[in-house]
Amino acid sequence: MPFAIGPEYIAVALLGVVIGIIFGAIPGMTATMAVAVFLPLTYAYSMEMALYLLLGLYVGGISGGLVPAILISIPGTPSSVCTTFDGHPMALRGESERALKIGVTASFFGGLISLAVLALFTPILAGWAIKFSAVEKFLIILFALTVIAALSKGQMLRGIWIGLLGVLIAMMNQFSVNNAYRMVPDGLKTYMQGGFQLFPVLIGLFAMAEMFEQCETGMHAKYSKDDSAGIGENVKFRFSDFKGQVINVFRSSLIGTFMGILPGVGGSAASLIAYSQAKSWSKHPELLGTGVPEGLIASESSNNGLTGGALVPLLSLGIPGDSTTAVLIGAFMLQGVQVGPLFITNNPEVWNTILVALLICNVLMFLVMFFPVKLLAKVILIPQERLYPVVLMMCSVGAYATLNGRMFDVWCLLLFGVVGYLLKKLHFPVSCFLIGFILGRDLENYFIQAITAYNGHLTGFFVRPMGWVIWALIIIFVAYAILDNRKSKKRNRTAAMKGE
Amino acid sequence: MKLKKLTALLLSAAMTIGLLAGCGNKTSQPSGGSNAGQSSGGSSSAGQPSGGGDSGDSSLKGKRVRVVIGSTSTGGDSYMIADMVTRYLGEEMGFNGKVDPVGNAAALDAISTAKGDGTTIMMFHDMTFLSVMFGAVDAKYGLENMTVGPRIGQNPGGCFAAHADAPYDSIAGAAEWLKSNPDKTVRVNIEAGGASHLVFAAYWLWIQETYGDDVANRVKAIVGGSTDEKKQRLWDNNADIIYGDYSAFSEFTKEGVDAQLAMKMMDPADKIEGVDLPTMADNGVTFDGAPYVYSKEFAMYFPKDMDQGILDEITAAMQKVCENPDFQAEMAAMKYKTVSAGDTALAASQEFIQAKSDTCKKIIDIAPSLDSLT
Amino acid sequence: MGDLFRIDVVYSTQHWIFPTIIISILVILGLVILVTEGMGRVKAGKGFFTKPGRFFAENYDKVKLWGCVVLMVAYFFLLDKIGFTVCSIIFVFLFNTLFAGPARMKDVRYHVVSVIISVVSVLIISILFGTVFDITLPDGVCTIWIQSLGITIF
Repeated sequence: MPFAIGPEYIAVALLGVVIGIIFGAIPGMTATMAVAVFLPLTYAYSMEMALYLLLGLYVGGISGGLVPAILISIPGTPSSVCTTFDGHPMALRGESERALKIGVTASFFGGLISLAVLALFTPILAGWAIKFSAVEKFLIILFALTVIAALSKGQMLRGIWIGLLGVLIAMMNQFSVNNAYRMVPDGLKTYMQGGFQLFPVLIGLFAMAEMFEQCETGMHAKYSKDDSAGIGENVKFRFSDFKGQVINVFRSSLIGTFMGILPGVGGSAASLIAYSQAKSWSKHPELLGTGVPEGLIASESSNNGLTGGALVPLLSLGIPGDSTTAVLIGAFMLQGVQVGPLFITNNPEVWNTILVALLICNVLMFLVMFFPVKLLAKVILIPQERLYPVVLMMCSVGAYATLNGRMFDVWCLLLFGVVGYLLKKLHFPVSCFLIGFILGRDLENYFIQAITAYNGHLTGFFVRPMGWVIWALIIIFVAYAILDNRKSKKRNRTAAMKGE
Repeated sequence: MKLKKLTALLLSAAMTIGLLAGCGNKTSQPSGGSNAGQSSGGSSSAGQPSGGGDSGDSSLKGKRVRVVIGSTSTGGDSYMIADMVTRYLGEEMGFNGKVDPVGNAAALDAISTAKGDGTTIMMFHDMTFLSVMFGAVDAKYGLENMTVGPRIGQNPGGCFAAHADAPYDSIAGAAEWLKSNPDKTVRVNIEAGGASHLVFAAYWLWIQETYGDDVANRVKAIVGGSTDEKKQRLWDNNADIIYGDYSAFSEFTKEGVDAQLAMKMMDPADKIEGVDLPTMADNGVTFDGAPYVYSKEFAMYFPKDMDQGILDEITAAMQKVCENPDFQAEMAAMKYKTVSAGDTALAASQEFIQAKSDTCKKIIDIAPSLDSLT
Repeated sequence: MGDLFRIDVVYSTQHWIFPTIIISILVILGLVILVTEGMGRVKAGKGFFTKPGRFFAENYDKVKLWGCVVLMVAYFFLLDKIGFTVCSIIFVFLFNTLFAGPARMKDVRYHVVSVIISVVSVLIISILFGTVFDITLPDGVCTIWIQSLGITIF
């Protein structure tokens, strides 16, 4: 066999997938953590066995994030943020089972499509990916930021403002190039070398703020058994839910894949772009965010699409496509395998094993998640007063473990919980702040790299042909967003007038 | 209902098999898992290396030892060396060690506030004191506020790299090329506060001394970026020469690599075993009159009020590890150098690191600031 | 034209380039928002500045909200003094009690369930992640260290 396969490999992959799903589904742990935890164990395994395990963890981890995102509106991993937008409203309507099944299926398709791209196009893509200089990467992230316009729901100016505030907050750190601190009070310098960490910010803004809001209103059940006849028994999952979504699935998966291919452009950006693109191409854009499969599918196929994509630069250039593949490099090194441009040529068996392992892991992920859905969906029945304390405890663990043991990050949970709560009270869209925060650091990084390369001349952003394409995309999308915003405003106004 | 129960049963059975299958060639103890974190962690399992099983005994036996390193990556030399040393040391002394790649400032902070009982160890290279001298971290983390422990290894693999078709084969060659092409500049990509900054400073001073200000002023520094970003800059033609670790570049120097990616390596700062490149010193670069040699020296660092007894125990165990042929083989496989038992001894290590720190300070004091170099 | 759109990138000050740009945009955009929203209000017949509406909802649950904040602060403060497991068990129980609401406070069964939930969930997380996966958890006074097995229960 030109690749490693056998019952013991599949068993190990299964182990990886299940543990990965658990890590992804617990809103304190992420896919990257899962891979990191098991990384040193792989020293004792053969290369192939290690790959089955780690890839299982990777795929399981990314997919597991959709569970809490849908059921309790808390993303299990940063790449599941967009899943909460449509997944949770569906759950509140009693369609948890359906939402979960759609999410898992979308993840499966995303994984398969990116695997196909990985298998067939890696050498071409690698060559293409390195042609993306800092200018293009800056523009892509700028493009990802335009998703703010899509998420503002009629408050575009406020959305942009709070998004830029998020970018600013992301820069409260030590600038990596000249090691100088900015906007950091002296006493906090030791903790804020890398700025605020994504995990406490994300969970604080989403989960903690939500908890405060629920406290304010008395923590009554958001969903009770009496509301509808059982958990979504009236709206069952059908594969026909995907009819008419084929383009959405392909587009979102490919967006995820290509974002993964670009080294240095983060994974959360992938699902954000996919979601906003789904919104602009949708026949009913105003429905996205209210709980439609379209949004859910876009988010989940793109974040799994990332898995295959991120492996492209890793295996063809030795450069990781996202944070989890960065950890995978360690796995190769522990085995004494160097990843670089000649990796595939020199290690054809390992390459084939990776492809087969990815396929098996995606299939296993689908099987493991699809069938127990009825059980998982019951989570939504857990009363909030029982759920939140445990979630808080788990998130504290996750926050503490973010940088291997700092209370500072746990306190950030509280800080950003308060921030998120205040933002909601002041009528600012919180998700826009989060997006600005996620993308802020990379945005600055590439900006500075780009202008350094052109000696400070801003014209540098306009001279490269690939850049023009991205500029065009940005302009088209912003124009569309402005029009959509006007429509939303009108709709809000008519709704308000009708209400009166 | 029955089908579900059956599936659940099969799944659990399969998982157990998976666990056992994977554990095949590992020895008894449950391996310490690793540490979480977005930058990931690593850990050592006390049962793996050959040479004894659970023979270790010491005051640290059975305890959890946290090893912090100054890097945040699990693929770099800091992590690899720390992982190897922690595994072997853990076996010698019977402790359950865990490597946490927390980054430079966090590691310095962790070690300066830790208890002096050996349960926290910092293993890192010269950036430990370089970062203080370059001002990248607060002066309170200087060497004088820490206890230097035994040396654990060396990485001689830092070197320069350029495009495969660059018109020079060494950095001295680059200086020559600049002399004959008065309208050209050479841009060198380095990282501020680290080894690359230091080596670049030494190189620049030598060029200034040997070729004069005119050539030296056309050697520009471009600051910033991880090793991957540096490679990208090279490919984008935004930098002409980059500095990094041998292992990061070697794959791109081989036959068959695409033309845009192909690199050549130049002037390792020290002799690398098995690599046939003339070093910086071989090519004539000097500092303060002597040929300039630079290797990343890895050592253990402890809090200021470290218990002397435990420190001696650790040093003795480290000496044993250095003489362990398996350890030596593993290090050599990654092109790292081990330190002899004599050099690991506490007094020798402390003197060595202090001397190194002083030499580096000399360079840093007279090197021009990065404002003028960029 | 050339120098108009040029930023001087000086090594030692470049960490302020981007923040300055962002802050400038924030200030300008902030003013624009104030003005446009104010104009909108004027058009609708209200004043340029609105009276700030109620911050908290009508009859908001003071006990739950402020209690939650206070407990969270206490929890985080004591986490690395007492140690994860014991501290979490105590506080998960306290949170469960806080969220009970006046109706269920007297219900003994509710409190028994709270105890069970806190002990079981914390132990599962603590042992699974802290001990089996060896993830660092806050350790403090009540951390148990078993030397013979080399394991720690935070």
